[in-house]
Amino acid sequence: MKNFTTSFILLITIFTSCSSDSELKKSVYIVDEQFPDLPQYSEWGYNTFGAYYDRQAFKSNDREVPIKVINQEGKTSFVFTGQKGSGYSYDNFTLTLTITDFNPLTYVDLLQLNNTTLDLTDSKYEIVIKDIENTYTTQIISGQFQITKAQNLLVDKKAEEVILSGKFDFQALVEGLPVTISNGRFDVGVGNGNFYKY
Amino acid sequence: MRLHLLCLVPIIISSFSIKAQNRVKFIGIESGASFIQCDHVNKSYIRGDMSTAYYGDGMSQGIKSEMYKIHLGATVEVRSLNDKFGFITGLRFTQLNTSVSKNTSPDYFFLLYQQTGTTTEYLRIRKIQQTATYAGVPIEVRFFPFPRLKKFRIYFMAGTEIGYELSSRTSVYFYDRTMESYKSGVLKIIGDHDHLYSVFYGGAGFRIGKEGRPGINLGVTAPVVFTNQNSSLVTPITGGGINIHFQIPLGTNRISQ
Repeated sequence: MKNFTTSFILLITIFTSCSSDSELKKSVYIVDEQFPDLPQYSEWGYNTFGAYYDRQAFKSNDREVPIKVINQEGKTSFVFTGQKGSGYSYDNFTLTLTITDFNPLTYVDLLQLNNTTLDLTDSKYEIVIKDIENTYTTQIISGQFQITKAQNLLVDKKAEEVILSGKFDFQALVEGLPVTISNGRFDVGVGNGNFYKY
Repeated sequence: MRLHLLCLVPIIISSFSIKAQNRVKFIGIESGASFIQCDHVNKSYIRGDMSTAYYGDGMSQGIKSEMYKIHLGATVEVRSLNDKFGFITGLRFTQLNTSVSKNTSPDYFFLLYQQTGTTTEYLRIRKIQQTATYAGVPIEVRFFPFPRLKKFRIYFMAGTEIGYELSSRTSVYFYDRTMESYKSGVLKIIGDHDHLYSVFYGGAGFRIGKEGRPGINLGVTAPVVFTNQNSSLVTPITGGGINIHFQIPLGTNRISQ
Protein backbone atom coordinates (compact mmCIF):
# COMPACT_ATOMS: atom_id res chain seq x y z
CA MET A 1 0.00 0.00 0.00
CA LYS A 2 2.86 2.32 0.90
CA ASN A 3 4.53 1.62 -2.44
CA PHE A 4 1.29 2.33 -4.26
CA THR A 5 0.88 5.66 -2.47
CA THR A 6 4.49 6.65 -3.23
CA SER A 7 4.05 5.70 -6.90
CA PHE A 8 0.80 7.63 -7.09
CA ILE A 9 2.33 10.77 -5.61
CA LEU A 10 5.31 10.43 -7.99
CA LEU A 11 2.99 10.05 -10.96
CA ILE A 12 0.97 13.12 -9.98
CA THR A 13 4.18 15.12 -9.48
CA ILE A 14 5.47 14.16 -12.92
CA PHE A 15 2.12 14.92 -14.51
CA THR A 16 1.75 18.35 -12.96
CA SER A 17 5.36 19.35 -13.63
CA CYS A 18 4.98 18.49 -17.32
CA SER A 19 1.58 20.02 -17.89
CA SER A 20 1.45 23.45 -19.48
CA ASP A 21 -1.01 26.17 -18.62
CA SER A 22 -4.40 25.19 -20.05
CA GLU A 23 -5.47 28.83 -20.18
CA LEU A 24 -2.92 29.40 -22.93
CA LYS A 25 -4.56 26.72 -25.07
CA LYS A 26 -7.88 28.56 -25.16
CA SER A 27 -8.77 30.79 -28.07
CA VAL A 28 -9.20 34.49 -27.46
CA TYR A 29 -11.24 35.81 -30.34
CA ILE A 30 -11.25 39.56 -30.85
CA VAL A 31 -13.18 40.74 -33.89
CA ASP A 32 -11.26 42.72 -36.50
CA GLU A 33 -13.13 46.00 -36.96
CA GLN A 34 -12.08 46.29 -40.59
CA PHE A 35 -12.87 42.67 -41.46
CA PRO A 36 -15.60 41.63 -39.01
CA ASP A 37 -15.59 38.02 -40.24
CA LEU A 38 -12.01 37.55 -39.11
CA PRO A 39 -10.13 37.70 -35.82
CA GLN A 40 -8.00 40.75 -35.21
CA TYR A 41 -4.29 40.35 -35.89
CA SER A 42 -2.46 39.89 -32.60
CA GLU A 43 0.85 38.63 -31.22
CA TRP A 44 -0.35 37.30 -27.86
CA GLY A 45 -0.75 33.61 -28.71
CA TYR A 46 -4.55 33.97 -28.87
CA ASN A 47 -4.85 30.71 -30.84
CA THR A 48 -6.83 32.22 -33.66
CA PHE A 49 -6.39 32.51 -37.38
CA GLY A 50 -8.52 33.67 -40.25
CA ALA A 51 -8.52 34.49 -43.94
CA TYR A 52 -10.94 35.02 -46.77
CA TYR A 53 -11.26 32.04 -49.10
CA ASP A 54 -12.58 33.99 -52.07
CA ARG A 55 -15.59 35.61 -50.38
CA GLN A 56 -16.04 33.17 -47.50
CA ALA A 57 -14.30 33.47 -44.16
CA PHE A 58 -12.06 30.57 -43.14
CA LYS A 59 -11.17 30.84 -39.47
CA SER A 60 -10.40 29.04 -36.25
CA ASN A 61 -13.11 27.95 -33.83
CA ASP A 62 -13.42 26.62 -30.30
CA ARG A 63 -13.82 22.98 -31.29
CA GLU A 64 -10.70 22.26 -33.30
CA VAL A 65 -7.06 22.68 -32.34
CA PRO A 66 -6.19 25.73 -34.48
CA ILE A 67 -2.69 24.56 -35.36
CA LYS A 68 -0.71 21.34 -35.30
CA VAL A 69 2.93 21.31 -36.32
CA ILE A 70 4.06 17.96 -37.67
CA ASN A 71 7.63 17.04 -38.57
CA GLN A 72 7.83 13.87 -40.58
CA GLU A 73 10.25 12.52 -43.15
CA GLY A 74 12.21 15.74 -43.52
CA LYS A 75 9.16 17.93 -43.95
CA THR A 76 7.36 20.17 -41.49
CA SER A 77 3.66 20.82 -41.87
CA PHE A 78 1.67 23.61 -40.26
CA VAL A 79 -1.93 22.36 -40.15
CA PHE A 80 -4.50 25.13 -39.61
CA THR A 81 -7.89 23.62 -38.78
CA GLY A 82 -11.11 25.56 -38.43
CA GLN A 83 -14.25 26.31 -40.37
CA LYS A 84 -15.23 27.88 -43.65
CA GLY A 85 -18.41 29.94 -43.70
CA SER A 86 -20.09 31.61 -40.78
CA GLY A 87 -23.26 31.56 -38.74
CA TYR A 88 -25.06 28.22 -38.90
CA SER A 89 -23.70 27.42 -42.36
CA TYR A 90 -20.09 26.34 -42.06
CA ASP A 91 -17.93 23.34 -42.88
CA ASN A 92 -14.79 21.99 -41.28
CA PHE A 93 -11.84 23.16 -43.26
CA THR A 94 -8.07 22.62 -43.09
CA LEU A 95 -5.20 24.46 -44.71
CA THR A 96 -1.77 22.85 -44.50
CA LEU A 97 1.51 24.58 -45.31
CA THR A 98 4.38 22.14 -45.73
CA ILE A 99 8.01 23.23 -45.75
CA THR A 100 10.74 20.89 -46.93
CA ASP A 101 14.27 21.12 -45.46
CA PHE A 102 13.02 22.49 -42.16
CA ASN A 103 13.42 19.98 -39.36
CA PRO A 104 12.81 21.31 -35.87
CA LEU A 105 13.78 18.89 -33.13
CA THR A 106 11.38 20.42 -30.62
CA TYR A 107 8.79 23.18 -30.76
CA VAL A 108 11.45 25.62 -29.47
CA ASP A 109 13.26 25.31 -32.81
CA LEU A 110 10.31 27.11 -34.41
CA LEU A 111 11.94 30.31 -33.14
CA GLN A 112 14.18 30.05 -36.22
CA LEU A 113 11.15 31.23 -38.20
CA ASN A 114 11.10 34.62 -36.51
CA ASN A 115 10.74 37.42 -39.08
CA THR A 116 10.61 35.06 -42.05
CA THR A 117 8.76 35.52 -45.31
CA LEU A 118 8.11 32.48 -47.45
CA ASP A 119 7.58 32.96 -51.17
CA LEU A 120 4.93 30.33 -51.76
CA THR A 121 5.75 30.00 -55.42
CA ASP A 122 9.02 28.32 -54.38
CA SER A 123 8.90 24.56 -54.86
CA LYS A 124 10.05 24.07 -51.23
CA TYR A 125 6.57 25.00 -50.09
CA GLU A 126 3.32 23.18 -50.62
CA ILE A 127 -0.22 24.11 -49.66
CA VAL A 128 -2.93 21.49 -49.26
CA ILE A 129 -6.58 22.30 -48.66
CA LYS A 130 -9.01 19.85 -47.13
CA ASP A 131 -12.76 20.20 -46.71
CA ILE A 132 -15.22 17.64 -45.32
CA GLU A 133 -15.17 15.60 -48.51
CA ASN A 134 -11.88 16.03 -50.34
CA THR A 135 -8.22 16.92 -50.09
CA TYR A 136 -6.79 19.24 -52.73
CA THR A 137 -3.16 19.88 -53.56
CA THR A 138 -2.93 23.43 -54.80
CA GLN A 139 -0.80 24.97 -57.49
CA ILE A 140 0.36 28.33 -56.20
CA ILE A 141 0.04 31.21 -58.66
CA SER A 142 1.46 33.89 -56.37
CA GLY A 143 1.63 34.86 -52.73
CA GLN A 144 3.58 34.72 -49.53
CA PHE A 145 3.39 33.46 -45.98
CA GLN A 146 4.94 35.79 -43.45
CA ILE A 147 5.89 34.77 -39.92
CA THR A 148 6.22 38.21 -38.41
CA LYS A 149 7.07 37.04 -34.95
CA ALA A 150 8.13 33.80 -33.30
CA GLN A 151 8.28 34.22 -29.55
CA ASN A 152 9.46 31.93 -26.81
CA LEU A 153 6.78 32.38 -24.16
CA LEU A 154 7.79 32.19 -20.52
CA VAL A 155 5.09 32.21 -17.85
CA ASP A 156 6.38 32.91 -14.35
CA LYS A 157 9.87 32.27 -15.75
CA LYS A 158 8.97 28.80 -17.05
CA ALA A 159 8.97 28.00 -20.79
CA GLU A 160 5.43 27.23 -21.96
CA GLU A 161 5.22 27.44 -25.75
CA VAL A 162 6.32 29.22 -28.88
CA ILE A 163 3.94 31.83 -30.28
CA LEU A 164 3.84 32.18 -34.05
CA SER A 165 2.17 35.28 -35.44
CA GLY A 166 1.97 36.46 -38.99
CA LYS A 167 0.04 37.11 -42.19
CA PHE A 168 -0.53 35.35 -45.50
CA ASP A 169 -2.06 35.99 -48.89
CA PHE A 170 -1.93 33.87 -52.01
CA GLN A 171 -3.66 32.83 -55.19
CA ALA A 172 -3.76 29.21 -56.22
CA LEU A 173 -5.34 26.77 -58.57
CA VAL A 174 -7.62 24.27 -56.84
CA GLU A 175 -8.95 21.54 -59.10
CA GLY A 176 -7.92 23.75 -62.00
CA LEU A 177 -9.93 26.73 -60.75
CA PRO A 178 -8.25 29.83 -59.35
CA VAL A 179 -9.02 30.87 -55.76
CA THR A 180 -7.77 33.78 -53.70
CA ILE A 181 -6.84 33.50 -50.03
CA SER A 182 -6.66 37.05 -48.72
CA ASN A 183 -6.19 38.99 -45.49
CA GLY A 184 -4.83 35.88 -43.78
CA ARG A 185 -3.58 36.29 -40.22
CA PHE A 186 -2.63 33.91 -37.44
CA ASP A 187 -1.57 34.06 -33.80
CA VAL A 188 -1.08 30.57 -32.44
CA GLY A 189 0.79 28.83 -29.67
CA VAL A 190 2.80 25.67 -30.31
CA GLY A 191 3.94 23.55 -27.38
CA ASN A 192 4.39 19.93 -26.47
CA GLY A 193 0.66 19.36 -26.92
CA ASN A 194 0.49 20.25 -30.62
CA PHE A 195 4.03 19.62 -31.89
CA TYR A 196 4.60 16.17 -33.36
CA LYS A 197 7.78 14.55 -34.62
CA TYR A 198 7.79 10.99 -35.86
CA MET B 1 -15.29 70.58 -14.81
CA ARG B 2 -14.43 74.30 -14.82
CA LEU B 3 -17.86 75.03 -16.23
CA HIS B 4 -19.85 73.46 -13.47
CA LEU B 5 -17.58 75.06 -10.89
CA LEU B 6 -18.21 78.48 -12.44
CA CYS B 7 -21.95 77.85 -12.28
CA LEU B 8 -21.76 77.12 -8.59
CA VAL B 9 -19.62 80.13 -7.64
CA PRO B 10 -22.51 82.67 -7.54
CA ILE B 11 -24.55 80.29 -5.42
CA ILE B 12 -21.73 79.86 -2.94
CA ILE B 13 -21.05 83.58 -2.77
CA SER B 14 -24.70 84.32 -2.18
CA SER B 15 -24.75 81.73 0.60
CA PHE B 16 -22.26 83.76 2.56
CA SER B 17 -23.67 87.17 1.75
CA ILE B 18 -24.59 89.92 4.17
CA LYS B 19 -27.96 88.41 4.85
CA ALA B 20 -26.43 85.08 5.78
CA GLN B 21 -27.08 85.77 9.44
CA ASN B 22 -30.80 85.44 8.70
CA ARG B 23 -30.46 82.00 7.22
CA VAL B 24 -30.64 78.54 8.72
CA LYS B 25 -27.14 77.08 9.13
CA PHE B 26 -25.91 73.64 10.06
CA ILE B 27 -22.64 71.97 10.70
CA GLY B 28 -22.40 68.25 10.27
CA ILE B 29 -20.48 65.11 9.61
CA GLU B 30 -21.16 62.79 6.74
CA SER B 31 -20.16 59.41 5.47
CA GLY B 32 -21.04 57.29 2.49
CA ALA B 33 -20.05 54.83 -0.17
CA SER B 34 -20.48 54.59 -3.93
CA PHE B 35 -20.04 51.69 -6.29
CA ILE B 36 -18.88 52.51 -9.80
CA GLN B 37 -19.48 50.46 -12.91
CA CYS B 38 -16.33 50.19 -15.02
CA ASP B 39 -15.66 49.55 -18.67
CA HIS B 40 -14.24 46.26 -19.99
CA VAL B 41 -10.60 45.82 -19.10
CA ASN B 42 -8.73 46.87 -22.22
CA LYS B 43 -5.11 47.21 -21.31
CA SER B 44 -2.29 46.49 -23.70
CA TYR B 45 -0.42 44.65 -20.95
CA ILE B 46 -3.27 42.28 -19.98
CA ARG B 47 -3.90 39.22 -22.14
CA GLY B 48 -7.47 39.09 -23.35
CA ASP B 49 -9.84 36.44 -22.13
CA MET B 50 -12.72 35.92 -24.48
CA SER B 51 -14.06 32.81 -26.15
CA THR B 52 -14.78 32.52 -29.87
CA ALA B 53 -18.47 32.47 -29.05
CA TYR B 54 -18.33 36.06 -27.87
CA TYR B 55 -18.36 38.53 -30.71
CA GLY B 56 -18.24 41.73 -28.70
CA ASP B 57 -15.87 44.63 -29.00
CA GLY B 58 -14.26 44.41 -25.58
CA MET B 59 -11.02 42.75 -24.70
CA SER B 60 -12.09 40.67 -21.78
CA GLN B 61 -14.99 38.62 -20.56
CA GLY B 62 -13.57 36.87 -17.53
CA ILE B 63 -11.47 39.69 -16.16
CA LYS B 64 -13.46 42.01 -13.96
CA SER B 65 -12.76 45.55 -12.96
CA GLU B 66 -14.17 47.03 -9.79
CA MET B 67 -14.26 50.48 -8.30
CA TYR B 68 -15.82 51.84 -5.16
CA LYS B 69 -15.28 54.85 -2.99
CA ILE B 70 -15.97 55.63 0.62
CA HIS B 71 -15.89 59.03 2.21
CA LEU B 72 -15.99 60.83 5.52
CA GLY B 73 -16.32 64.55 5.90
CA ALA B 74 -17.25 67.64 7.87
CA THR B 75 -19.76 70.03 6.35
CA VAL B 76 -21.39 73.42 6.67
CA GLU B 77 -24.84 74.04 5.21
CA VAL B 78 -26.43 77.41 4.66
CA ARG B 79 -30.08 77.58 3.61
CA SER B 80 -31.53 80.12 1.21
CA LEU B 81 -33.79 82.85 2.53
CA ASN B 82 -36.90 81.02 1.38
CA ASP B 83 -35.57 77.81 2.94
CA LYS B 84 -35.94 75.90 -0.36
CA PHE B 85 -32.23 75.54 -1.11
CA GLY B 86 -29.33 74.32 0.98
CA PHE B 87 -25.74 75.09 0.02
CA ILE B 88 -23.17 72.70 1.41
CA THR B 89 -19.40 72.73 1.46
CA GLY B 90 -16.72 71.42 3.77
CA LEU B 91 -13.82 69.03 3.82
CA ARG B 92 -14.21 65.48 2.61
CA PHE B 93 -11.74 62.57 2.78
CA THR B 94 -12.37 60.06 0.02
CA GLN B 95 -10.80 56.68 -0.40
CA LEU B 96 -10.97 55.28 -3.91
CA ASN B 97 -10.48 51.54 -4.33
CA THR B 98 -9.99 49.97 -7.74
CA SER B 99 -9.06 46.45 -8.67
CA VAL B 100 -8.67 44.08 -11.59
CA SER B 101 -9.11 40.37 -11.02
CA LYS B 102 -10.57 37.28 -12.65
CA ASN B 103 -14.14 36.22 -12.03
CA THR B 104 -13.90 32.84 -13.72
CA SER B 105 -11.75 29.83 -13.02
CA PRO B 106 -8.75 29.75 -12.94
CA ASP B 107 -8.47 32.82 -10.77
CA TYR B 108 -5.57 34.49 -12.52
CA PHE B 109 -4.86 36.46 -15.67
CA PHE B 110 -1.72 36.98 -17.72
CA LEU B 111 0.22 40.21 -17.58
CA LEU B 112 2.79 40.94 -20.29
CA TYR B 113 5.92 41.62 -18.28
CA GLN B 114 8.49 42.13 -21.01
CA GLN B 115 9.46 41.32 -24.57
CA THR B 116 13.14 41.05 -25.45
CA GLY B 117 14.20 39.66 -28.79
CA THR B 118 12.28 36.43 -29.33
CA THR B 119 11.44 36.00 -25.64
CA THR B 120 8.14 37.12 -24.19
CA GLU B 121 7.42 36.89 -20.48
CA TYR B 122 4.01 36.69 -18.85
CA LEU B 123 3.27 36.79 -15.16
CA ARG B 124 0.21 35.14 -13.67
CA ILE B 125 -1.61 37.66 -11.51
CA ARG B 126 -4.58 37.00 -9.23
CA LYS B 127 -5.41 40.61 -8.52
CA ILE B 128 -4.09 44.15 -8.79
CA GLN B 129 -5.57 46.59 -6.33
CA GLN B 130 -5.11 50.34 -6.06
CA THR B 131 -6.14 52.38 -3.05
CA ALA B 132 -5.88 56.16 -3.10
CA THR B 133 -6.92 58.66 -0.44
CA TYR B 134 -7.91 62.21 -1.34
CA ALA B 135 -8.69 65.36 0.61
CA GLY B 136 -11.34 67.28 -1.23
CA VAL B 137 -13.86 70.07 -1.11
CA PRO B 138 -17.45 69.20 -1.96
CA ILE B 139 -19.81 71.82 -3.29
CA GLU B 140 -23.39 70.66 -3.11
CA VAL B 141 -26.78 72.23 -3.65
CA ARG B 142 -29.89 70.73 -2.11
CA PHE B 143 -33.39 71.58 -3.23
CA PHE B 144 -36.31 71.08 -0.87
CA PRO B 145 -39.38 71.08 -3.15
CA PHE B 146 -42.01 70.45 -0.52
CA PRO B 147 -42.93 72.39 2.61
CA ARG B 148 -41.53 71.20 5.87
CA LEU B 149 -43.40 68.46 7.61
CA LYS B 150 -43.00 68.01 11.30
CA LYS B 151 -39.97 65.70 11.25
CA PHE B 152 -39.48 64.74 7.61
CA ARG B 153 -38.37 66.57 4.53
CA ILE B 154 -37.46 65.33 1.03
CA TYR B 155 -34.64 66.90 -0.95
CA PHE B 156 -32.89 66.58 -4.31
CA MET B 157 -29.22 67.38 -4.71
CA ALA B 158 -26.47 68.02 -7.21
CA GLY B 159 -22.86 68.45 -6.38
CA THR B 160 -19.27 68.26 -7.35
CA GLU B 161 -16.10 67.46 -5.50
CA ILE B 162 -12.48 68.19 -6.21
CA GLY B 163 -9.76 66.46 -4.29
CA TYR B 164 -6.03 66.06 -4.17
CA GLU B 165 -4.32 62.78 -3.50
CA LEU B 166 -2.80 62.38 -0.04
CA SER B 167 -1.57 58.83 -0.47
CA SER B 168 -1.88 55.84 -2.77
CA ARG B 169 -0.90 52.21 -2.68
CA THR B 170 -0.92 49.48 -5.32
CA SER B 171 -0.95 45.83 -4.29
CA VAL B 172 -0.12 43.03 -6.70
CA TYR B 173 -1.24 39.50 -5.83
CA PHE B 174 0.84 36.99 -7.78
CA TYR B 175 -0.39 33.48 -8.53
CA ASP B 176 3.12 32.24 -7.77
CA ARG B 177 4.27 34.02 -4.65
CA THR B 178 7.91 33.48 -5.54
CA MET B 179 7.37 36.12 -8.24
CA GLU B 180 6.92 38.89 -5.62
CA SER B 181 10.30 40.31 -6.60
CA TYR B 182 8.71 41.42 -9.89
CA LYS B 183 6.30 43.77 -8.16
CA SER B 184 8.26 46.95 -8.90
CA GLY B 185 8.40 46.01 -12.58
CA VAL B 186 4.65 45.39 -12.64
CA LEU B 187 4.01 48.77 -11.02
CA LYS B 188 6.03 50.47 -13.77
CA ILE B 189 3.93 48.67 -16.39
CA ILE B 190 0.64 49.71 -14.76
CA GLY B 191 1.82 53.32 -14.72
CA ASP B 192 0.80 56.32 -12.72
CA HIS B 193 -2.66 57.84 -12.36
CA ASP B 194 -4.08 61.32 -12.04
CA HIS B 195 -3.39 62.75 -8.60
CA LEU B 196 -6.39 65.03 -8.82
CA TYR B 197 -9.85 63.68 -8.22
CA SER B 198 -13.02 65.21 -9.51
CA VAL B 199 -16.53 63.89 -9.54
CA PHE B 200 -19.99 65.12 -10.35
CA TYR B 201 -23.06 63.63 -8.75
CA GLY B 202 -26.78 63.98 -8.28
CA GLY B 203 -29.21 62.34 -5.95
CA ALA B 204 -32.13 62.53 -3.59
CA GLY B 205 -32.82 61.88 0.05
CA PHE B 206 -34.76 62.85 3.10
CA ARG B 207 -34.03 64.58 6.32
CA ILE B 208 -35.31 63.21 9.61
CA GLY B 209 -35.56 65.63 12.49
CA LYS B 210 -37.30 68.85 13.36
CA GLU B 211 -35.97 71.99 11.74
CA GLY B 212 -33.74 73.88 14.07
CA ARG B 213 -32.85 70.66 15.83
CA PRO B 214 -30.20 68.00 15.10
CA GLY B 215 -31.18 65.78 12.22
CA ILE B 216 -30.06 62.95 10.00
CA ASN B 217 -30.08 63.08 6.20
CA LEU B 218 -30.24 59.80 4.35
CA GLY B 219 -29.52 60.10 0.65
CA VAL B 220 -28.95 58.14 -2.48
CA THR B 221 -26.33 59.49 -4.87
CA ALA B 222 -26.82 58.60 -8.51
CA PRO B 223 -25.41 59.05 -10.97
CA VAL B 224 -21.82 59.48 -9.83
CA VAL B 225 -19.70 60.51 -12.78
CA PHE B 226 -15.93 60.88 -12.66
CA THR B 227 -14.63 63.76 -14.71
CA ASN B 228 -11.02 62.64 -14.84
CA GLN B 229 -9.05 59.36 -14.98
CA ASN B 230 -8.48 58.52 -11.32
CA SER B 231 -7.16 55.03 -11.87
CA SER B 232 -4.51 53.60 -14.14
CA LEU B 233 -6.27 50.23 -13.86
CA VAL B 234 -9.91 50.79 -14.74
CA THR B 235 -12.11 53.16 -16.68
CA PRO B 236 -15.12 54.24 -14.64
CA ILE B 237 -18.45 54.72 -16.38
CA THR B 238 -21.01 55.70 -13.74
CA GLY B 239 -22.28 54.52 -10.42
CA GLY B 240 -24.40 55.16 -7.39
CA GLY B 241 -24.22 55.07 -3.64
CA ILE B 242 -25.60 56.07 -0.30
CA ASN B 243 -24.84 58.94 2.02
CA ILE B 244 -25.55 59.52 5.71
CA HIS B 245 -25.28 63.06 6.99
CA PHE B 246 -25.70 64.07 10.61
CA GLN B 247 -26.29 67.79 11.18
CA ILE B 248 -26.70 70.09 14.12
CA PRO B 249 -28.00 73.64 13.85
CA LEU B 250 -25.60 76.51 14.23
CA GLY B 251 -26.43 79.70 16.07
CA THR B 252 -29.93 81.03 16.53
CA ASN B 253 -31.28 79.68 13.26
CA ARG B 254 -33.83 82.33 12.56
CA ILE B 255 -35.80 81.42 9.49
CA SER B 256 -36.72 84.17 7.11
CA GLN B 257 -40.31 83.76 6.00
